[in-house]
Amino acid sequence: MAIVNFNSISGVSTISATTSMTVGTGVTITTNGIVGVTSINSGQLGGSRNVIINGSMVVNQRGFTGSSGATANGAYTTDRFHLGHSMDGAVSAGQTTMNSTVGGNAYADGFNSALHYRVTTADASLAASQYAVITQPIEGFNLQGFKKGTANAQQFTLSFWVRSSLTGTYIAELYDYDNSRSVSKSYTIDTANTWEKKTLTFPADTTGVFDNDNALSLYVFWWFAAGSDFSGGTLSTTWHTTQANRAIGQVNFLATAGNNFFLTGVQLEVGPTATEFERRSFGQELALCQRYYYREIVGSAGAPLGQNAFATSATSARILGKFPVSLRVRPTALEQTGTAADYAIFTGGSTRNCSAVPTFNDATTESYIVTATVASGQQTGHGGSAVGQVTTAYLAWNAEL
Amino acid sequence: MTYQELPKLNPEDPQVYARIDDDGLCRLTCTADHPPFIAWLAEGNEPLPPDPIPEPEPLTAQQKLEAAGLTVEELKDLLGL
Repeated sequence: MAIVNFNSISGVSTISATTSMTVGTGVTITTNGIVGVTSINSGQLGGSRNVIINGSMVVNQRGFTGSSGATANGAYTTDRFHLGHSMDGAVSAGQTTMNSTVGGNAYADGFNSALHYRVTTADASLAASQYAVITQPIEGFNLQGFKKGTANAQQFTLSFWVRSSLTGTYIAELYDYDNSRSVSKSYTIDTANTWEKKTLTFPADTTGVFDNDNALSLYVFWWFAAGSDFSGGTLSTTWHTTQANRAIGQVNFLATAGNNFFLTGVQLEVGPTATEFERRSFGQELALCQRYYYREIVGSAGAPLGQNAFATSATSARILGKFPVSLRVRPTALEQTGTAADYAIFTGGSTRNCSAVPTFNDATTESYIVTATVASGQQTGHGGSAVGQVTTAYLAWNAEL
Repeated sequence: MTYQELPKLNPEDPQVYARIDDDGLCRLTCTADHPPFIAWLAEGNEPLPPDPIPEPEPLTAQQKLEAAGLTVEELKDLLGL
């Protein structure tokens, strides 16, 4: 086999090779295809490579911000990302809008939003079982391309932009919920308050298949603090089942109130190469998020909620509506603002303020029924609509993992 | 935080529970198969009993007329007044 090396070639109409052609150290054209391609025209290669939803943090249905964020263990912040912690301190997480000052290199790379995680009450001394993470849970249907648990299992590559006020070692982890197996990688915040792009490739796992269903199969964890229960062993960069090997070396980000951590441009994809971030339209990203959580907002006082409503008695009405996408599962609860007067029912030519908050009545993965209550005056059977009386009125259904 | 059973406004409605947050507001209502409610029950908690259903305020004569789709003049004609 002959090997021909050249720096450039021109004026040749056809170049042929029996086995392969390589350009630099990146792209190789073989008889089976093209490998090593990280981008086309510096952009993404194609759609649906990123199994992370809302990796650019643009969708924020719950409305949490960097200054007024989600705080509770298990609470969702920017769509599809939620907090997890057991600690004596307190944190807050919400969406931050970027500009050239805040966003730095991430903004320059086209990211206009980030998840802002900050410490509001310090916990400088962690008990063994204490920890703090943010995570995105992923359903099994979306993970089959990794072929986990098979002889053809693929590597996982996680890439993201990150900025932290605290330098040092951090841990990112994949946790296979179906099989209780995990794998961790450390990364370093080199410079405080500076955006850095991180790329971590996790090994393939020929043990433990992801269930092919709509239930939780994988957590992607970004660790902030880890007690000795999670950090007492040796960091395992191969798939394992030892709790103590999950977050060795993790700095205690909770140690100081006012610590700030920003995350955006998150991508998890099949294979050993981090490709350019897969950019979806806002409408696509919103629809993907709405499979897990749907918040119907009025946006302006007096605007309708739901598709229609009708009176079932002088004091009660049903609001009917259809979800814009099929939810992951049938919701079992309804969220609203907590203030009855934010809502009203318009039937028979009259608008009557609600005397109690709207309540869950029934729902499928496709549609919903809400019960509304007014003080008096409705005529049974009269039709109309529900109305949001303030711009912040909403109805929301949760189908998160 | 606690939960309270809500009265059924219609017999065919499912039993619904209101989550009462620490500030006294209800921002979530759910059915008995809502996972956080099930977890709360598993901790040994019990929902508060329902408040009595408030009696509807009586309709005024004008509201009764509107509900019937009648004007005062039409009612007078009807009654031969």
